[in-house]
Amino acid sequence: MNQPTDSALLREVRHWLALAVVDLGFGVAVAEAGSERILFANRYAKQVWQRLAQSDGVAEGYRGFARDGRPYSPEEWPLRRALRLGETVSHEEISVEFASGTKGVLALSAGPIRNDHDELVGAVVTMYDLTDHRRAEETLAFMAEASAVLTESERDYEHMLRRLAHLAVPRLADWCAIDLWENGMIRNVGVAHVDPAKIELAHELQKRFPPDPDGPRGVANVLRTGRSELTPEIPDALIDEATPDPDVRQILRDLGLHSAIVAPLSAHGETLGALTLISAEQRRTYTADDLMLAEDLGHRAALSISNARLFREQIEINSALQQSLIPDTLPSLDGVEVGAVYMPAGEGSHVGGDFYDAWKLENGAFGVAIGDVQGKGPRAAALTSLARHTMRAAALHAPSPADVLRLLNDAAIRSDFKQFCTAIYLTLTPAADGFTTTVAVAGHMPGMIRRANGTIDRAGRPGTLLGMYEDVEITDHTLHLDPGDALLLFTDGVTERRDGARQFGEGRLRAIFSAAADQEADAAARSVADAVGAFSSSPAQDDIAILVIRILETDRAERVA
Amino acid sequence: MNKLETATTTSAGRATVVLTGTLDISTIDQALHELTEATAGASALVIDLRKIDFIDSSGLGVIAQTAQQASETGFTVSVVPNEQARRLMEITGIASHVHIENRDA
Repeated sequence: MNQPTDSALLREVRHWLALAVVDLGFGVAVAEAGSERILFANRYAKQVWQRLAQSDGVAEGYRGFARDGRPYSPEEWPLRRALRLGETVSHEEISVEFASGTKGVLALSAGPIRNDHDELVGAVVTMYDLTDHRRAEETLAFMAEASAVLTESERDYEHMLRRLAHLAVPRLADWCAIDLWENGMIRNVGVAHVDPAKIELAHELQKRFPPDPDGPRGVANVLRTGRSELTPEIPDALIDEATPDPDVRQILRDLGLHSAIVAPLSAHGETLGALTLISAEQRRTYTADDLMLAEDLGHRAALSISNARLFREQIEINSALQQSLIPDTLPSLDGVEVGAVYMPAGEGSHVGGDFYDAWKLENGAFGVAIGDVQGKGPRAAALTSLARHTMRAAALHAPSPADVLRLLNDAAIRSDFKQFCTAIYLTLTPAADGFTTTVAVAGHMPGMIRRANGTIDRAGRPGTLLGMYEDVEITDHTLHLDPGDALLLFTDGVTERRDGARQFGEGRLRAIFSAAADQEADAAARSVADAVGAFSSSPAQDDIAILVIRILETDRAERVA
Repeated sequence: MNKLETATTTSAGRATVVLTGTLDISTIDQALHELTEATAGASALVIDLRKIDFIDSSGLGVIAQTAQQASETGFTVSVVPNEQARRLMEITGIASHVHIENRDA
């Protein structure tokens, strides 16, 4: 009987394998049928198992999941199927989760080992660790999503940061926190964890143990130095060092913190905040590669914050500037009601060129101006300011509105602005039963008068725009306004408002103003503005200014007076 | 969304710039650039607005400003308006300062 025994055969296989496969670049292990004991495992298999199980011995309580999330029962694992059923299993990808929290992805194949009598005596399993591959894929997917979040919502950056924190969990971390450094304080703007109960715990912790801006480690240190921190493993000693409060220490221990990264949110040499990634349940140990990723993410987030802050600042400056160009409140003028609406194009991201003004002259008369300066931004604002002040000053000396506009033309031509503007200036003088108005128009759409009897008249004769030509043709047009008459002045943002190829136009304006002119001046101006706004769903390209002046009934005028 | 197309032809020192599309605040800079280019090496400039389907006062203002600056340096500038441009030129008073050439649309 020269036949080797089963165990002798396995011994031979083991010896042979040990020599051939010990240093292979994938895992190989052999197990015995019956006892299901591992007889041999090469170096790769041992290392993978140690890393994932975080134990040298037999790992207890691990679970496996297929790519679609379906759990593997113990007898479904490839090695068991080969050992018990003699099945050959080729490349099954299994996500493994250990009781310790560690996760990994393995590709497993297995096949039976039979003796010469075709009896099942054992099985061989091969494994390949796909954990890093899958993680790299997820990281790429994460960065793509993060980039989208960082660029889409640049105005509300706190919302953006919260979304970023949620995106990082659980792919990069079990915990993600984002803190901002504001006025010497650390302010948390976002915490994410897969388990909402733990977020409560984090908030509780934050309340009881607010971050110390002078702390030697963690967020405080990163904010101070602008340098990131990597703590591959968090020992208990570190927790003890972090806080003297025993309750807090206990909470921190209960959280099972394993590994941590704190990266600065830095842009343009300034540290605006910090991004904290903590691995706990997953027991992922962060590496230098993870640190680089976190630093990159922190830098990108900081750029978005910095852009959003600049944008906000610009809007604030613009609205302050705009306020200086448009009167806060129009003066109350005896015998008339004045209403105004001003709508800048865009959402306050630039200063518009439309303006209006009204002021008292002598003997119960007053002047009213509306205009539109070409262009936007500071240069337009400067000419707007020049126009308002020049008209007010000129109105004191020149009784003719046309002369006032000619003086403004001289001033604009001699200025360095090289911008032009259109304007209407008119005076209203109390007369028997109503007012006399003298209107001068410079390159602007004439005003519109809705008479008490319903007819519509034009106020003003066309005249040359200002700031372009030395000699301008501007004429005074004098009319009488009766009680109940309403005068509308507007800028071209009204008539030139577009919806596709359609334009709002003068005809539509006439109809809307006719219907609105019996309302109080403010409401009438608002009605016109609403109609212009509703005309198109696209944002207005140009500023819109609307001024309505109503001549009050005499008895009402007296009451107001 | 707002698009302006420009085409320049030059013959015998006379440059003709045909503007097509929208001439408003969003396309002013492009128009200005093209008009400035066209004046180089020419002694007369024709700005053809007949293919414009939208023009506003800032668009027309820039045309007028270009014409004004060019004529100060000895250039002859003329504008061929469409109906909308002609109306705007009358409202703004530009009509009496710029040489208008009437051609059939």
